[in-house]
Amino acid sequence: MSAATKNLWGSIPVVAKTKTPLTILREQGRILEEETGGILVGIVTTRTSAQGEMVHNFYIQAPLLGDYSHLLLSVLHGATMFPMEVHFEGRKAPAKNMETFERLLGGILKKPSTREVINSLLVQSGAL
Amino acid sequence: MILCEHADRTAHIETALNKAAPSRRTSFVKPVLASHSSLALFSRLTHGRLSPVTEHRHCLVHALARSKGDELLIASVHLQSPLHQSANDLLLLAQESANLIRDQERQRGHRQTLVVGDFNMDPYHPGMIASHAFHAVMDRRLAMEESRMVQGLEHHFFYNPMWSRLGDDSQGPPGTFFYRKASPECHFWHVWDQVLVRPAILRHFDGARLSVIAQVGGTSLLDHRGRPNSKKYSDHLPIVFEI
Repeated sequence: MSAATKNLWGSIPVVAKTKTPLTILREQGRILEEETGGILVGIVTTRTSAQGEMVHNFYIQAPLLGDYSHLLLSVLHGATMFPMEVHFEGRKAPAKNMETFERLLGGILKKPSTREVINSLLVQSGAL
Repeated sequence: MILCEHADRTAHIETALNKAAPSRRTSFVKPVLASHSSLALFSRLTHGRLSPVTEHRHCLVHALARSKGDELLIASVHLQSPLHQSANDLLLLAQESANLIRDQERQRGHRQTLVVGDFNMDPYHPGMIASHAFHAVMDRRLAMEESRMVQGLEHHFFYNPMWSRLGDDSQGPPGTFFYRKASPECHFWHVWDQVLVRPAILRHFDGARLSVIAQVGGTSLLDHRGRPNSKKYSDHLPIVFEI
C-alpha cells in the first residue's frame, strides 16, 4: 500500500517579475549608450565577495578611447537584495528598498562630478 | 617607471629624467580624468603604445600594446599605509583593487597582467594571499596551475617573486621599507613594494633580474645603519625588473 504524496511546501507564491538593482544598472547603461550615440556605454560586472555579498560594479566605458573604463559606483547586497550599500567616490550609502536605491542612483548619475566624467570622456572621444 | 607619492611634481620629475638621460625622451603618462591618485607613470615608449585602461584612487591600469591585437595590462597600485589603517581595512582595499584589475582582464579578454607598486602589505599579508584579494603565491610552479577552486568559485593566481626578497639571505637589503616601533610585534623590515605576475606572462619574467635597489650610480640610498635614507631620498627602496 503506498502512502499518498503530501505537499509539505504549502503554497509557493508565484513571484511577479520585478526589477533588480542589476537590471536597473544595466538599463541605465543602455540609456547612456543611446543618449551618447554609442560613444559611451555603461558596463556592469558582477561577482561574489569573500564575505558572500553580490558586488555589482558600474563602469562608464569609452570605446573610442581603447575601451577606457571609469568605475562610477559599486552596489553590494546579500541574497535578499535589501538592505544594500551603494559605494561612490569613497563613500557608502545604505538603501533599504528599491525606492531608496533608485533615488540614490539617480542622485549619483546627475551629480556634477559624474557629468564632468561624461563630458571629459565625450570630449576626448572627439564627440564634443 | 612608476612612482607613488609623487606629490604633484610630475613636470619636475619628467624634466629631471630627461636631463639625466637626454638620448631617450621620457614622458609623464597623463591620466584621462583629473585624478586624485598618488601614482604617476613615466614612459619611454612611443606615443600610443601605453594607454590608460582605468584609473582609481589606489590603482591605475594601462594597456601596453605589444604586437597586433596583443597587449599587456600593467596595474600600478598604491594602497593606504597600515600605519593609518587596520589589517581588515587593508584587506578590503586589496580586494577592491584586485577586483578592479580582474574586471579589466575580463573586459579585455586576457590575463596578461602584472601588478606593481607600494601595496603597503608584506607578501604574507591576507590582502596579498587571499583568493578574493590578490591571490599571489610564492611558488612559480603552483602559479602555473593558473587557478584553484575555493568554495565553488575559480580564483586565478598571481606569482609573487617578492617572497624571495625577504630577509638577510635575499639579494640586496632585507626589505624595501624599515619601520621600528616600541610594540611587542615589530617586523622592522617590510617588503611592501612588490611586483605580481600572471602565469600567462610568467615565461617572460626572470626572477634573477628583479632587484631591490640600494645604490644608484655611486650613490647609496641607505643610511649608515643600512636602512632606507628617508631624510635624503625615500623611506622606500625602489624595485626594478624586466619582462
